[in-house]
Amino acid sequence: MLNDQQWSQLLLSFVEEARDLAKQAEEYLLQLEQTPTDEDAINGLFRAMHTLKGSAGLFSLTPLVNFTHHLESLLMKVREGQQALTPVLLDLLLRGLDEINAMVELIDADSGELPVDEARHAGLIAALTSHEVSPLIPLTVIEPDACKAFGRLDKCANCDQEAAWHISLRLQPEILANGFDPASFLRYLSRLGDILQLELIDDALPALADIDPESCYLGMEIDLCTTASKAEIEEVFEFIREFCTLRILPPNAALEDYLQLIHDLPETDQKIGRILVASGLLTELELDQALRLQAADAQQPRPLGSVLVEQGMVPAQGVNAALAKQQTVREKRNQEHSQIRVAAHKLDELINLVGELVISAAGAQLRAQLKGDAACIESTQTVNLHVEQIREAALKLRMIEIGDTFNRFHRVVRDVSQQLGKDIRLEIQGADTELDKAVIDRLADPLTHLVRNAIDHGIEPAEQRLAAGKPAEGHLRLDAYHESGMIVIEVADDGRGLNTQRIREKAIARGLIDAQANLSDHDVQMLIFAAGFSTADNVSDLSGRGVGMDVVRSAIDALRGTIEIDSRPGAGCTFRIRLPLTLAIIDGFLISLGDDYFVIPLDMVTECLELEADQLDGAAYGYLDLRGRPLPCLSLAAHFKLREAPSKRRNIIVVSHGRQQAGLIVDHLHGELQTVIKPLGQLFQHLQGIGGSTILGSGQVALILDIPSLFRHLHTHVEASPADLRTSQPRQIAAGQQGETPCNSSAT
Amino acid sequence: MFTLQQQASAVGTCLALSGNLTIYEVRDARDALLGAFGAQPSGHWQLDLSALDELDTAGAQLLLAAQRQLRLSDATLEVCNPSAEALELLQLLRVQTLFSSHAPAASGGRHAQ
Repeated sequence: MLNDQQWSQLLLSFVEEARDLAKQAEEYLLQLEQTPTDEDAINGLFRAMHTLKGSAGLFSLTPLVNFTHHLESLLMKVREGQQALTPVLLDLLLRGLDEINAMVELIDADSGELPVDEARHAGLIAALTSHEVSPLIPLTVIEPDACKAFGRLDKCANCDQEAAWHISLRLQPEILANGFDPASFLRYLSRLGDILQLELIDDALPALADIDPESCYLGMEIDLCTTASKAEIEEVFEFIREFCTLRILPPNAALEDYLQLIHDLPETDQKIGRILVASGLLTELELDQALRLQAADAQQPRPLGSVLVEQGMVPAQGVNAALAKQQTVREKRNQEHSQIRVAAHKLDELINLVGELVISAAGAQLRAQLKGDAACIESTQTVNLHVEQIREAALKLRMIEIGDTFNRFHRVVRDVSQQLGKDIRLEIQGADTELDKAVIDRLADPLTHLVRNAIDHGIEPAEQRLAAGKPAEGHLRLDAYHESGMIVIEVADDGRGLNTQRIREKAIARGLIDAQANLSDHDVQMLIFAAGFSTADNVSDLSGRGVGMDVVRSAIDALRGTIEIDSRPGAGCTFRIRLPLTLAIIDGFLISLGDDYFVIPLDMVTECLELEADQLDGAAYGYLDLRGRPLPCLSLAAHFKLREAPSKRRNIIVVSHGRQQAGLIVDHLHGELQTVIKPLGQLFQHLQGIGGSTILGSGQVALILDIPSLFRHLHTHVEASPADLRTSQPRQIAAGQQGETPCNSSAT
Repeated sequence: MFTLQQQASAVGTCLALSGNLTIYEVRDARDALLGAFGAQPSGHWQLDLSALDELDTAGAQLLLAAQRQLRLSDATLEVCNPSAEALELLQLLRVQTLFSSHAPAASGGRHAQ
């Protein structure tokens, strides 16, 4: 049900919670150290462990559950007075907490695994159960030992190099018998650079009487002055890799460069070995070998860093640098993942303030422009730019992914389909689509209605589905995506589709439409949103009581959204909800009619064209020719019965909504405007075509056009009233003749 | 092909090695050397490598072991007149101890730092 990403997000928030709990517990413990009888602290401590255990159980983090369980039972005894809280016990508890902290940090958010050594863990738990303080072995703390092995480097006498590579070679006895002469590799090595020093290590060589002359007892310490890389040096010994132990240490001078290189590596979250390989300090082969060594020592796994240093593969400074690098990357990542929970009302306050700021900044800019002071204009422009950024950032704070809401429906679908004996699969798409939290909250109910309806009415019982040649398993899809500044949410089923005939009959029976009315299928389908409408003959627990679709409609309307139905008989039905991304502030396009200002949501504006005054001949509605295609047009002045400006030049703004396009005829274009949406008062709530208001910098009120409602209006007038159409049709003139290029948005 | 010829010299005993001393010959060479040294070798031993055609690491290792063997009974060993091939390898491996009869026994086979 949950995808991996969601799961790891949940897991990350658990890690966050666990850290908090452990911190709380530690505070309680420290308090108890002062006053060992503090009951509140004991209870708090117990609760913290209990919560941690519970949450860890949800994520199947068994080692953590086990461990906290033992701490919990120990604390239980303390709470019940069976066990005195001695300093020794406190110490044990504190160390137990450290262990929990260590485990929490070990949780792999991607795989959900908690790699803990079972054997050691058992030992720790035994210590807890017996209440005896036994030394707890600290969990893998990466702290490399100081490099003692090969710190000594000699200065190159022959060239400018400050120091030489140190190569330490230990040969296996079989090497000679396998036909390799180590000397030939030395000769090959000398091609890379000068062998400054070579010390033959023959400590293991027995006397002649005891020697197996075909076995090799030798080793070599070589100082090589070369410009070759570590990998190149390693390559020299490629063929005898199996028969020798090879350690290559960079010269001190080069080491500095390597450390710098590690520091400069791109900040990806890499394992320490990878960082070292990327820097060239460690070769792939060495890494493999070290990992094998690490794995071989299963009883007491050591950090890779200390293995590398101990094996002399990498100098301690190198490991330290890589660790530091890893640390900074991790810290950065943790910062990215760490979250702050903020009360929603605080966010609302912030958004409100930002809204006021947008208006007052616009006012300041207007003043500056009137005054004509260039410096002042410039600085207000900068202020406005920043205000715009603040606005966007503030609005993003409210954005949450719709996935959480969608995921709730797994349960709804499961329960409802079980109740109805249907087999239904829910598919979720676009769960990461972000939407204003306020919108999402108010969307849950309408979505539930739609989902329940789809399951109850839409998807047929299995027998009917099989008879219709469909798979027995019903299919329900929830999808969310962005489309031209709106978010679209789809609830789609593969059921029988809407029965238009039945809807029509019911609508006539209920007096919603006239029996003679000639409605298109689409219009008939939209009737299901009428109040009190239900086609179900029997009222079920789930739906059919006629409460629902009208509630869905009004909820969507309240969100300034629209809903459309796409139903194919026998193939299924899709409800498509279009919503604005946010309810508070939008990017608007300011226009004017005479002295009245209006705002069109910028996302809906496709282009602006110039228009001759007489094209529509004063009619409110009509068609224009837009590059050979008919464009339904609406004259805003005529529509709102406002006085037009006497100017000859007028403009058309082409707006799109969903898949429809239309032209709005206006007087002047004023360009982009950050629009803070103020709701209309109660009196104007039912005003058609107006969605809200905003205050301009000048203090003037501008009305925000409700484009979807204008579209509906235009639709009825242009298509349903042929009279209007006729009056305007003879006058149609190609808009393109006047100039097709979209106006600059700042044109006035 | 490896052969060993033993003769007395002015300073002790001289062993003339000829032919090859490589991984293929070391087993025979060891036996030959052990035979030459006997149970209680003493005095100064010289190895004449002028007739040695080929020497490899196994051979060099054998020479080192021979030196060690002699040292056990307070005898000393010195490599003399190495052929070009032998010299190249001994220099490559920097086994200077083999060239000097006066190397202190306590150095354990390592060259002086």
